[in-house]
Amino acid sequence: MGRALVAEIIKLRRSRLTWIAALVLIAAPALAATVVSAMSDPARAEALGLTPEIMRDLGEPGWTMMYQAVAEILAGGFGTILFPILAASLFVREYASGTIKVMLTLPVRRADFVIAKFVTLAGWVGLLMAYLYAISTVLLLVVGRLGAPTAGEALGGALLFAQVGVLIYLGLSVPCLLATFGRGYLPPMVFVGVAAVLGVALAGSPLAASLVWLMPSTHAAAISVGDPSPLTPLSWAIAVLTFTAGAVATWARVRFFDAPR
Amino acid sequence: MPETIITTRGLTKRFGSSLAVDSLDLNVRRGEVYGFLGRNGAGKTTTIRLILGLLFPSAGEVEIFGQPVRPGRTRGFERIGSLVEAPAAYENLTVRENLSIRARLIGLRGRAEVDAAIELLTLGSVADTQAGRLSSGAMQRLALAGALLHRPEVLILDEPATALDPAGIRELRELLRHLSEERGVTVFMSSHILAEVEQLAGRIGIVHHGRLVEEIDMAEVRAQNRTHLEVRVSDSAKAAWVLEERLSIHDYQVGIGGVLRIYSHLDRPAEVNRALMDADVAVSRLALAEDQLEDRFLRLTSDEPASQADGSQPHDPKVGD
Repeated sequence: MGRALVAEIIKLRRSRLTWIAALVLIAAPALAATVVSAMSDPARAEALGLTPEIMRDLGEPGWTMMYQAVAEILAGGFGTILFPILAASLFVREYASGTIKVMLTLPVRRADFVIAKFVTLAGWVGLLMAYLYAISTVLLLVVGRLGAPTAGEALGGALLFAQVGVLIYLGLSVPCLLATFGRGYLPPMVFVGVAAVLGVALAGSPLAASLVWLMPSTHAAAISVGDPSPLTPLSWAIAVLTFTAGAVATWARVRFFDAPR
Repeated sequence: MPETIITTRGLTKRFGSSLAVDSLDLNVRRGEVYGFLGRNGAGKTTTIRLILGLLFPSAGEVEIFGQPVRPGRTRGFERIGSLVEAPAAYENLTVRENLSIRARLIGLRGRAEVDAAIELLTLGSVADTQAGRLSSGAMQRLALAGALLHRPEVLILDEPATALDPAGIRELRELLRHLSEERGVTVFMSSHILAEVEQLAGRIGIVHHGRLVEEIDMAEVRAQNRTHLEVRVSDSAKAAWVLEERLSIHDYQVGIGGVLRIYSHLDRPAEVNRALMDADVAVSRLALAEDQLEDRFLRLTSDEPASQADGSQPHDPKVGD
């Protein structure tokens, strides 16, 4: 498995999408840092259109708000759109370039080929979340005039990022599976569209705590307004089961690969 | 009898109602270069995919090194190098990176094998170029370099000369010959460049409509190749009449472009020439020649009646009356 993993890491590192994603995702902490820092400066707040009413709804500007806002943006926007497409790309590029046929004629078990991709994906999501946490911290330190975060604020933020990262990751095996079926981006794109529509339609409903693709935003949204997370142990179990089912089905799809074209 | 490396028994593949490979029995022996020939759509690539475990057979079986091959089983694959259809590579990675990834997957750790493969396929000048920017010929070389990276005992190549220029084809021929003769590598290659196969292969299999219509040693093919008088004339119909009526020659073929192949009277070309000239048939070429693999191939894979194989026209001696 190690050989397949190293190969996957090299491919990911040299993929343009990896670096584009890292750049695009900076938008989340940049936006949050701008709002949080403006809230402690009435002139800038007014310039940004932050009325006292809005600021009262947003809560107390500070590190906790910063981390929660970034987590919410990642979970809601990027979590449902960018991450599934990036995950699908791990498989799509093998089909699009024809390298799947090369891979499957090498002395590498097909299970290793699939596991290596999911392990790489896990590492990549983890690294992205860590990177965004670090960017969030640095940005607010530079522009926020809030001083350094307390240990509690820093740990709370890290925990929230970790939870959102895990929830995002658990929803990524299904777009990967769809990519192997469609051998292109269309099925994962359709999936992203459906997930986005569901996200809007079911936001706040009890179902949102049972659908893995809505869990990151549901969790982050509740935390950011100071409510307890609506995710129950059953929600986490559903998320793990969904991921497992998607990963096993992806393996089966590659294991029984048939290449009539 | 040398050890059999690749065996297929009753290998069959259906795609819906279409029969792509039909009860194929192949035997590829250790160290030989086996030319797998067939027209477009004859089932060559499907057979290679089946041999490499990229397709599930509808019936029959494949063995390599005595081990059954099925999709998902990789036992023995470390001894095989392959090239299936169009060459594939990660376009955003350089030639060297593509080979490094493949090397790692095979279990090679050093750079030496990658450097050796780059040198062997003369990819040095593009080693640090992204695969997406390579010419089709260089891409083919990259794919071949990948297949040779781990010094395999068996090479399974699907149209390896595709996209190569004449010099590249010649280099490939020399390379495969070297691998076979010096390293004892077994080569199973499909091709429709018959001249190359003729020069390289020790044995050929000809597949048509998914069925193996002939499997034969090239030495036997050469022994069976017939010498003939090749005559280019102004009026082939009238020439055919002359051959039959004036010279009592019946063993001949009428080809396209006014070319006739006469399989008798080989020692009497002047007599043939005179008879044609006497009948006012202009002769622009008359020479001794030998059948090519192409003739055999076209005869065996023709769906036309036998007399029309190789573009030959049915002759009607009465035309000249």
